[in-house]
Amino acid sequence: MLKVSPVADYPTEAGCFLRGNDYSPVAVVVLLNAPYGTLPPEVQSIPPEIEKLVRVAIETGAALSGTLQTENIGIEKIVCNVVGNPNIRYLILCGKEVSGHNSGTALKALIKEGINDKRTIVGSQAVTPYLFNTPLGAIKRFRGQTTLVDLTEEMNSEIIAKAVWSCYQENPTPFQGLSLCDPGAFVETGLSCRLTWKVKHPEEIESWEIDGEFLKKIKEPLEKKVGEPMKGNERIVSLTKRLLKVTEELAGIARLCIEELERPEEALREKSLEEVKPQLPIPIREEPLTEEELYFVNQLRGYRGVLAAFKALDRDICHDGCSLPAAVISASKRLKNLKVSLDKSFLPDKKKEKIRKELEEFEEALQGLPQDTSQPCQKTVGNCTIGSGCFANASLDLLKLVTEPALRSNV
Amino acid sequence: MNTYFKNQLRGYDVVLATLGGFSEDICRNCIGLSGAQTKVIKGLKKLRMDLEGSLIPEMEKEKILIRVESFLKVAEGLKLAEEVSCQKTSSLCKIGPGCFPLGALELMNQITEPTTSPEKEVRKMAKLICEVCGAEEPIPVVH
Repeated sequence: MLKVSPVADYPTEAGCFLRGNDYSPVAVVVLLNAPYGTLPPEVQSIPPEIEKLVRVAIETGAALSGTLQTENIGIEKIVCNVVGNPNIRYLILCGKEVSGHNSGTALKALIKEGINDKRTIVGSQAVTPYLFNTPLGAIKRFRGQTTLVDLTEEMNSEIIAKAVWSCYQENPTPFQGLSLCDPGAFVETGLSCRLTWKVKHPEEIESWEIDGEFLKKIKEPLEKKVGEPMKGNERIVSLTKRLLKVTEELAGIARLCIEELERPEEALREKSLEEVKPQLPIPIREEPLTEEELYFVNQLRGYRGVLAAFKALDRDICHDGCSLPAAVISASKRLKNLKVSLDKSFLPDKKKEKIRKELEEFEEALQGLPQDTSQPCQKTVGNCTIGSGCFANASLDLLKLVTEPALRSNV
Repeated sequence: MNTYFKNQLRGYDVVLATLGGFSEDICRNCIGLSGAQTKVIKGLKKLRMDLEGSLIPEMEKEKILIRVESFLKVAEGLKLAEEVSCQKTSSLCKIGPGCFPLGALELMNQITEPTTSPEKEVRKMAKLICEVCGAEEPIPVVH
C-alpha cells in the first residue's frame, strides 16, 4: 500500500485541531455548534462533549481531528490541510449541525457538488458558503481525494471511534452501509496551499471577479456623451488620452523588468529591504547534555537578565542608593560560588572553559557596578517613591525563576 | 516630574533593559518575550494617553512624552525571531515553570505608589434645571 509524506509545511493552516498519525487515511471534522455571530472557537471554551469527540478520533488513529464552525474560512482551512496530506482519503463529519452557519451541509455539498464560477458552494443551505481564498486546484483535489463518511448529528464517541478504525482497515470493513478500507495515498503529490494564497498571487484574477458594471462604465464615455456617441476628433482625443495612460503604465512595468534583469542583485536587495524584515541571527546554544551542565546553563541565562537590569538601575537613582550595591554584592557572591561548583563539576574541560568564560564576563560586568552599601537608601532620603517595592532586589530575584535542576548544595 | 509618570518611566526603563538582556538568549525565539514586548508597548501607549489627558504643565508633559516615545522605540526594536514559539514546549527552556520575560515584566509590580494616574482634565458644565418644566437653563452670571 502506497503511503507518502505530507507536504513540508503540513498542516499548512492553523486551527482547532489535533494532529495524529500523518499516514492515517482519515480526518475527522466535529461540528462545533455555537450560536451564529459568536467569537471564533479559539477564544471560547469548547464544550466537553465536542472535545471528547476530537480526542477520541485522534486517539483511535485519525490523521487530523478538529472542530468546524464556519461555512467559509473553516471549510477552506480543512481543504488546505487535507490536500497537504495525500494519505487522507476519508473525511468523517460528525456532531450537531452548526445553527446559523449550516457548515455541515456546506461541507457535504462541497464534496458532492463543488463550487460554481462565483466560488459559492453549490446546493449549500449556509448563509455565506463562499470559498474565496483557496486555489481552485486545491478544491478540485479535495473533492477527488476524499470520501465523506457522513455521521452528522452523531455524538456517540464509540461510533466515531468505530468509523475511524474502519477507515484504516486493510480489508473492506462494513460500517453503517458503507464498505471502508484504507486505499493508500492519493495518486498525486500533496498540495501546499494557504488561505493567504491570493495575497501572494494577486495576479490570479478569475473572470467572475472582474466587475462587469465597472467595465461598462469605462466603455461608456467612448461610446456615449450625454446620450450621444462620440464622433470624429472628440472620439480620437478620448482614445488617445486613454492609450497614453496605458502606455505610461506599461512603460513603468517595463522599466522595472529591465532593472530587475540588468541588476538582479540590486533589485533583489532593494526588494528585500522593502518587504522583508531583516532576520536576526537566532541564538544557538548547544543543548546541555547532562543535568549538571543544564544547571550552569540555566544560571547563566538568569544572570544575563539580572545584569542587564542592574546596568539600567545604575543609570537611575539606584546608583546612589544602598540596595543596588547590596544586590550587586549578593550576585557576585553567588557567581563566585557558581564558579567553585563549576570547578568541582564533572563536566568536560572544554565545556567548563566555555561556561567559566561567560561567568568571568559577568563577574567583570558586576565589578563595574556600585558596591558601596554605606550610601543612603533612596526611599529614606525621599528620592525613590515607588512604594514598598525595590527594583534592585526584585531584579536579583529573577534568578529565583530558575528552579530546575534543583539548587546545588554548594551554591 | 510628576511622581506617577516618573515611577512608571523608571519601571519601564529597567523592564526594557532586562528584556533586552534576555533577548540575547533563547528567549529571542520565545512567545513569552513576544508577549512581554506587546504588554510593554501597550503599557507605554496607555501611559502616553494618561499623559495627554493629565493636567501637568505642558513643558513637563513634553519631557515625559519624549521618554515614552524613546521607550516605545526600544520596545519595538527588541530582538525577536520572526516566528516565535514557547521554548518550554520546544524543550529548549528547562528552567522550571518560571519564565524570564514574564518575570522581567513583573518588575513593574514593584511600583505600588501612586496607585492611580494623575487626575485627568474633566470639564463639567453646570446647569440649572427648571423646577416647573425640567428645561435646562444656563447659570446666571453675577456681575
